[in-house]
Amino acid sequence: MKAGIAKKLTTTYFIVTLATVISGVAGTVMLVLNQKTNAEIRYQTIPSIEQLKRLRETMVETGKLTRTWTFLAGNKDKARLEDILFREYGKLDSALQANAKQWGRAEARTRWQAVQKRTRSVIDSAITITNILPNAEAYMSDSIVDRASAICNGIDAMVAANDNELSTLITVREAELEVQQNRSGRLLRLMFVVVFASVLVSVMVSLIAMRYLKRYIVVPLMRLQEVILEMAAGEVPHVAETEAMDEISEMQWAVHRMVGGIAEKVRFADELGAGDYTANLSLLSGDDKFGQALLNMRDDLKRRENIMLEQDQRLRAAERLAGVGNYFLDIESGEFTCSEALLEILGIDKPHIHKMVDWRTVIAPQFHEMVASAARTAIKTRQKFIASYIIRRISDGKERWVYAVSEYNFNDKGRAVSIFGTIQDITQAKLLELDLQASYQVAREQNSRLLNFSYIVSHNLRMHAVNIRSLLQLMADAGSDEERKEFMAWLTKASGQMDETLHHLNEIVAMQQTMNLKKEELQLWNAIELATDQLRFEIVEKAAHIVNEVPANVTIRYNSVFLNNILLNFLSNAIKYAHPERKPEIVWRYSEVYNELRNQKCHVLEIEDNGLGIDMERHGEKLFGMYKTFHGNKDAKGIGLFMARYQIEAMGGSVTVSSTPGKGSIFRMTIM
Amino acid sequence: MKRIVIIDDDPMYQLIVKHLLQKIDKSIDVADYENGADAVMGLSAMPASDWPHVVFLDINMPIMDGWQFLAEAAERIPELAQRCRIYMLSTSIDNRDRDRAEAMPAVREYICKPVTKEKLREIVEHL
Repeated sequence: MKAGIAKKLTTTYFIVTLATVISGVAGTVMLVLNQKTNAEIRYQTIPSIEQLKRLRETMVETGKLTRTWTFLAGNKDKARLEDILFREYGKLDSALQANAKQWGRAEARTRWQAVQKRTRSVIDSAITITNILPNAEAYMSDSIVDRASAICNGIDAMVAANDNELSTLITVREAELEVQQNRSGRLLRLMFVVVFASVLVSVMVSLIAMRYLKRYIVVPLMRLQEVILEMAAGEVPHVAETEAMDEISEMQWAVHRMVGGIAEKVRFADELGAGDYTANLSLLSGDDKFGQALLNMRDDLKRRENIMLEQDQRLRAAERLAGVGNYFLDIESGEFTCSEALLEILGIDKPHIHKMVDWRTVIAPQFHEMVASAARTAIKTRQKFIASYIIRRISDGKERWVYAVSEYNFNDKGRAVSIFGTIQDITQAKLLELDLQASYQVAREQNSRLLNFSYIVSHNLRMHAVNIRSLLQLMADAGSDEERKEFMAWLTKASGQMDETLHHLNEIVAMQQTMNLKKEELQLWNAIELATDQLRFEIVEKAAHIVNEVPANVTIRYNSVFLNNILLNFLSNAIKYAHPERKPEIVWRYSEVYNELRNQKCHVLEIEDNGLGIDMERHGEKLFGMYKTFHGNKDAKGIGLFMARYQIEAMGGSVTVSSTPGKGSIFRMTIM
Repeated sequence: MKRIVIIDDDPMYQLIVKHLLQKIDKSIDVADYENGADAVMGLSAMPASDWPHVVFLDINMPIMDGWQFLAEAAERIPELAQRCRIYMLSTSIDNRDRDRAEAMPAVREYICKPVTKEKLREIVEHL
């Protein structure tokens, strides 16, 4: 059925209309026929009968009147006869003539013609009579009258004969009338049937048309509507193909294709979602905007992913370069994710780590307290956690300095639920910083020593100058030569002292200017023995007991003069400041210490005594300072320790003192 | 009898001052200590009645310097500052030392060495 919906509708309409029209036509035909029959009866049959009857009467009247005419008619009768002969009969004859033409039955027509003939003769005869007896004079003639009378007889005979004919004819026509009336009745009855039938037919055809419409138009449309509603809800329904080729099936086909297109796009979107940017999509047409938009989106996503990949790579490279790693820790679940750079810093192999390694094993113990406290503060104040500490790498245990900055994330209840942070390896910078601090410290100390020195220089020199001046004054005021001699002796002494001071100061300056210190391999044990020997008098005098616990095989690279000076200084102090209530017990000890940060080992030499001790709180600062009193020997406390410390530090070491007043002291020096 | 104590570690200087004082008044009894620690020990050992009338205190001394002596004395023998006139002597011409000395109520005066005979006379005569 290659008819479109319009055609289908038209056809249906046509059929329904046709049925109606046919019914109508049938009814109309019936009516027309009926009408015709009725018309026939009314305008033909009945008048014809009447006319025939009238004719009969007329004939009879004519017969009478002609007789009357013949035998002296009154004027009234004459007038009447003339009326009949010259007017009425003509009309009647014409009418019947016209009528008879339409009679269906030939018999009737034939009879009429016979009748007509007779009547015409009658009339003619009548006319003859009137002609031959026009006036009263004519009546005088008996011959005319006799003629007339004969004619009258003839008329009477004809009339009588016609009368029968007419009666028969009338009967015939009346029979005809009956027939026609029956026909009319039949037609009327038929019409009822036809009308009824046509109504029925119309209803049935309408029903059929409706079913047809329903089946081929409404139902497909409803199905289509269902599909479209489902699609409006976002579903992708299955749409069957139909065989039909009308607009609805075209719509169905279009929807089918649309659904197919959507299913395809769903697949495409799924592939994109899974990360497959090579997914492809076939467009429905050049105007498939949705499809085009999806393809553009794919290209966009691909581009953005590339950008992100690049950014990610750059971030990783940046992290690696800077030695920074980042991590995210979910506190509750313990789940730990971090960047590769962090694994590198902590020395962890990737497959190894899911949960956070116990930070206590990573962070060096000396920092545990500080880190824990900083973390607590960060959580409490909701600030960033910032700390610098040493970690021990998990892979090789090597120690590195790191700088950690992290943020805590809190939930609604204010609990810390996760941490995001960065850890940067700052070992190099830290070492430099420590170096710098050490240098700064050294510079500060040197500076203060320098200040001290310059202060003391002016002070000390001034002191001697003052004495000399006072003495000169005294000499000037002296009363006697003896006094003057005495003062002179003092003056000599004072100037000698000044000279000595200048000499010492010169030494110190010279020492401070020494850049290239000659170093030799020296045996520490030997050097101590040498110094001990040099002080043998003092040792015997104070009955001091010296113990040298330094192993014989220890050698150091040192300046021999410095070493001797230092050892002498320490030893002589230990002896000199012995406790008055006991014999001095002096012990030399040796140990080695590993400086982790500088990756160096250094020697440590200690001398412990049981003498007076020093109140380090009070005198600590002055201990290695310089005093104005130089009682002759360098080893007097005035300048001895000052020089000793200077020499130790010039060799790259350091010296510290710990002491308990009344118990004794330990001088501890390091040697690189 | 007037008693004067010199707390100074320079024996030369001690001699000079002693001599000057003798010149001014032979009856003055002059004692000396070489450093602040000895001075504190010595002074706290004797009864307050034996304390000197004048103390010449040097700043730069070993073991315990002038400042430390004052601190120690304030703790151990607080009446010293009231009973004795403490003069601070120093070769230091640094204003900071002068200011510091003058800020201490225990120090009567800061004198720059050399102390002149006239100054000594003035001090002695006020006893």
